[in-house]
Amino acid sequence: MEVLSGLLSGFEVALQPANIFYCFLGVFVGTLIGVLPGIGPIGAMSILLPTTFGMSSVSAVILFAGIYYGAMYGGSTTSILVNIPGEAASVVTCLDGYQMARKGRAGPALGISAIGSFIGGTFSLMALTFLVFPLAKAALKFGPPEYFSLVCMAMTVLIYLAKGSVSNAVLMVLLGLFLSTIGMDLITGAQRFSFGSTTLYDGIGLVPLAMGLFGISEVLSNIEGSGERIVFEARIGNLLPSRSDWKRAAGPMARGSVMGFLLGILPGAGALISSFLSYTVEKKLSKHPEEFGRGAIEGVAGPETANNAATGGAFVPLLAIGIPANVVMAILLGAFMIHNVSPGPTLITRHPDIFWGVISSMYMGNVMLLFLNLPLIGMWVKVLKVPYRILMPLILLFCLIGSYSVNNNVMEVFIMIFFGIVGYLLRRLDYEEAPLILAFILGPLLEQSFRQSLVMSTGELSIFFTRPISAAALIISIFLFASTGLSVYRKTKDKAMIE
Amino acid sequence: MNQRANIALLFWIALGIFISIHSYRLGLGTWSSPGPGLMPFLVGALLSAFSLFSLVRRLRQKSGAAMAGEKRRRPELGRICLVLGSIIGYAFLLERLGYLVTSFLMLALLFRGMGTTRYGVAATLSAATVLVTYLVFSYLGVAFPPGILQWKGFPG
Repeated sequence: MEVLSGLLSGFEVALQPANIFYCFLGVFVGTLIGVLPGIGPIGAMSILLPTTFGMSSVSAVILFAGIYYGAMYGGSTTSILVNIPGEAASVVTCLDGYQMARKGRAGPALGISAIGSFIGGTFSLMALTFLVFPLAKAALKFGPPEYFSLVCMAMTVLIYLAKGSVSNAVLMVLLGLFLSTIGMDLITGAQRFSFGSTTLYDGIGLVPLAMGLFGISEVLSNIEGSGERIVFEARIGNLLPSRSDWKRAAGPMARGSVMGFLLGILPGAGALISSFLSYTVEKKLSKHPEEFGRGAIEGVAGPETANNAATGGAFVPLLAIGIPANVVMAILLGAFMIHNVSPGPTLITRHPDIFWGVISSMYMGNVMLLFLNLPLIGMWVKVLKVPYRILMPLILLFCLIGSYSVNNNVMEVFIMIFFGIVGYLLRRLDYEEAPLILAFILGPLLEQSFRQSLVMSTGELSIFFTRPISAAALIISIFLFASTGLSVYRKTKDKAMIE
Repeated sequence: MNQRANIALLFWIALGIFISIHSYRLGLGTWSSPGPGLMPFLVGALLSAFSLFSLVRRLRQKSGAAMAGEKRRRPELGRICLVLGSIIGYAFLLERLGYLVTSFLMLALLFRGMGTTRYGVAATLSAATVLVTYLVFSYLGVAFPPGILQWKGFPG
């Protein structure tokens, strides 16, 4: 009952004209970002972050949430029509979606993708609505030791699920933690690693760091392959799937919804991993696995549903506990902090309008996206044909405006460029930026809770193991870290034996 | 590629040592009253230790059969220098020349440099983009530096 009354009050907030506008703007920009390779939701949100200073906090979060799940919808369009994923989580859709387009079935592929995204998004929202409330209530009992252990667990899961080398992920986490210590120590007021710079007095800004690592370095990496894209020109006819398409897609969509939601909660690349897992599961369960990779509709329906379901799951730890599950949520956390709102267990009690308003607007956003993605597909196809040599300077301009406008300080622009170069070099050396930025954002929470715990326990480290929730989280972390280390050791040993 | 990876690890080791030394000077405090240097010290020490461990592991692996080198795309240095030069120049000139002039110059240079063959097209596209972004972002509350157009009464 409390949930239903909360939702109703949330709709009152979400249905205000300004918030309807920001929701539409968010999902529209999100779809555009998803359609265009070269800038993802992280870059777009970082660029738009300073422009939200003048908005109310609920409007800002509605806008960003819209960009996030909108990008998941849009990413599939370019996967199906161009065989290039617009968004990392849409990589899997290329496998069968593009093959369907080659067989003249681009319409049903796009249709089932949009419908599956809607089903996944809506399901995860409903699960989020009913799960966040009790979880947030439980989180009210968390103290500094629990937060420290949960953040440790989040970082360990992130390392465990890293796409590339585990040791590189560890190094990036440590680098991110170091970067988060630059500036003023919040407890003692001492300046750390700022070397007298007034710009670094408050530390490195999230916006220049994120835009450098995800915007500028992405542009530098993409310069190498800036050829023209060939958009599949076949007539995109009827977008609605046939009856047999529905029959085949129903199971994958249902499984994708649950899988995506649960995986989205875990720290790391929830949408990406959920889409891969959905594809793998559907191929194993299919009566005709040989069709996968040749235009099986299950290969589009499952992953697309899963990646949108993961977006809802990703909101759970942020809204309930205040810990972001992935980089996008980390930027959203930054947006919350800029507006002086702390997400977590107190969000529901102190800012119920924000909490319920955001959730209600996401229901609205999913409906808007269905209408944006089905009838407007012709427009997105035209957008796809814009050459990268035109897009790239625009992306750079937006990054430059964005970083300057944070504090009207040109030094922030230089910081962004610096991290752009760093990000580019890291990519060439096969380091991932996502663990770095997640650790950067979680670093202050980790340090503060660590130091507060030590003060509480007068220096006894056993406090982390004597409290049950903290102990459980740390044991899971140790187990995951040990199993990651063991598998790396085994791989090294096998390699040495082969040689 | 392997050499570059090893150099990177050496860099992390050195960075970790630097962080640890600087943090020690900040003051580690005590376990019951941790100082501002404790967390960065632990991070720096772990960074050095882990990088050293990774480097040793890599060097021991390499001492076996030669590792298959990955074919890497050679970076298009010309274009990368053009982009970096443009954005660094932008940062230097933004507050002197103002948003409108600096953005126009940067965009025209990049459109032309990235392959838009005609100067006229590059210039027109730049001018249009700069005007539209100026109007949209000003509406959203972003304050741009007027620079040399200040005397013409352009608001920031």
